[in-house]
Amino acid sequence: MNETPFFFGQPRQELFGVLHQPVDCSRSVGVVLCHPFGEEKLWSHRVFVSFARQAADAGYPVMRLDYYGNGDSDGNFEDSSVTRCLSDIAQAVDTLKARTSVTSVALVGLRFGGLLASLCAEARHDVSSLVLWAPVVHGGRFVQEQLRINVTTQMAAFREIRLDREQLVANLTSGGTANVDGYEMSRTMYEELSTVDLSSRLLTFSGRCLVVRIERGLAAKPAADVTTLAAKYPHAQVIEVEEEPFWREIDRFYGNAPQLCARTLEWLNAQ
Amino acid sequence: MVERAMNPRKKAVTFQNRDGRRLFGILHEPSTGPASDIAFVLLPPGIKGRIAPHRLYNDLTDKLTARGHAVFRFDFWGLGDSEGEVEERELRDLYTAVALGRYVNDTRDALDWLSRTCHLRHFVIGGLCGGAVTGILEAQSDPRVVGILSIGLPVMLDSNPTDAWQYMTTGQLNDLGSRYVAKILSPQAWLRFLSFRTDYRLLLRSIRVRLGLEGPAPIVAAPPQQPVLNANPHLPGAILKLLARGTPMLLLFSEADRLYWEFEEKFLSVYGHAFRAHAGTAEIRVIQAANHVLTFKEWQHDCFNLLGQWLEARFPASVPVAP
Repeated sequence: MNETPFFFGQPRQELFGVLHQPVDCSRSVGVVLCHPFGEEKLWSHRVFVSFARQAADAGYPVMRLDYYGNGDSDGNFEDSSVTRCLSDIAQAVDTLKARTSVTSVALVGLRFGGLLASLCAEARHDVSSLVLWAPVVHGGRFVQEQLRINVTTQMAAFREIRLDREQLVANLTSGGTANVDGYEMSRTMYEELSTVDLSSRLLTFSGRCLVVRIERGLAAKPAADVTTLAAKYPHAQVIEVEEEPFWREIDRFYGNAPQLCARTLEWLNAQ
Repeated sequence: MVERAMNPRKKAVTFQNRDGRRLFGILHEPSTGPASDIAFVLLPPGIKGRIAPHRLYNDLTDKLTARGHAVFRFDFWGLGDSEGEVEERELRDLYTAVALGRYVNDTRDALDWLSRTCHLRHFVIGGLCGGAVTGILEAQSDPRVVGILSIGLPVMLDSNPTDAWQYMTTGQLNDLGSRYVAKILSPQAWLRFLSFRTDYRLLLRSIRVRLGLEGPAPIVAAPPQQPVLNANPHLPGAILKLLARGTPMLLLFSEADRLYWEFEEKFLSVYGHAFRAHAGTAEIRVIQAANHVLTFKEWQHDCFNLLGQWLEARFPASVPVAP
């Protein structure tokens, strides 16, 4: 396997990506990985790297990217938005196709990256399959969770809430930003995320789709929104894997998510 | 928002460490080429790699390249994008391995690579938390390192936990005491208390400290020859060497970070004499109210301002620091 880190895209708005190329590159399907939001990206990074290497070893050319304003890409996080992220994923798909012999891609997304992958699959004809790892289904709920992180940080730092969620929203809608774990979320990101609800949206993607529930213990009741989301796709399968929530700070170092990666590869190989 | 007016050049690179593992990094240079012969190497704090929490290293890089410095950020083996697999399964064990110097060789290999391929000769190295420790441990025996940037330096080890109630700093106990008092009317807190889930010894001790009935832990008075329990055994010697060598060090701490309290109570109380003997070599600065990772923008600005002042004093530049 060869791994190449590189920048691509428009000058001064370049995106960072890593291309994992199998030695024997005979597959026509590649994989593009869509990372989650803010600090979740950093906590889950090594699982992404690990999965990319396993997929490349299985013969898939794999492209990882950092959205604009994220990771090593140009820009500031406050320039990031749902629209911008979708455009970045599209650029990554085009770049992967241009650099390898693949003609279609599987989009694999975790959490916010799952939401983006789902939206991206609606707009492109070269997405042959979709893998959604613990996807965010309700953008509105998700963005409120992000604002709660801000409030929790205030409590920990100041022992009081100086700006409650309503005030944070007021700041956002008047053009300011809201700090989420150190990232400045913009009004555009807030508003775009707030309006995305995959469970009530018309989804037309007709390729294969794998929705993965990731739970600490599989006794947990399936989240209704994940089931509702899967039901919107004609060729969707829901599976459950037992892994820690590695996109958050947990006691364990999660360099690999063995069940998640193995089951995903097994599903990809079955096409 | 961080200004990116100078449009620094950047290059995604890989290099091999001495064990043959490929390490991934980003090399940044000012658009007009380095105006300073001192390059910065930002070392990963831990698993958040060359980005660091909320892209702190990207923002630091912008500040430093705007001042004319080349900057290199890279991932240690087994972390970020780099090759290799670490064997630790608990984060605290990984942090301990970092604190004990696991990545000193990677750091030296990075400096060798930069010297060889980019002809850079003088370096300021360090970073946040584990990056600060690694920088100090490497620098003690590498004359190419002419400065240390340390943000939130941990002087204690995370693994092998001892009884927390016994070895917590006065700062931590004070803070905990306040939190216990604040929860006195909380039904959940009482439920926890009555269902034996509370650490009663910790509660009692923190309340006593909060009320001023108990002073600092006796461990604070430990003499140098009797190291503080759970302290990083490699760090004092390395810092003393750097002080003796006159290597400028900026030690930034966050006021609301337990690492600052540990540094003050368990390190300075023992080794403060060395800092006084080499006054001016190491500058200790505290960012008010900030947490360990400098979450809020104002704390990040304070960090950048303090760094700018230190650089102006220690490494005057031909290009002014961006405001």
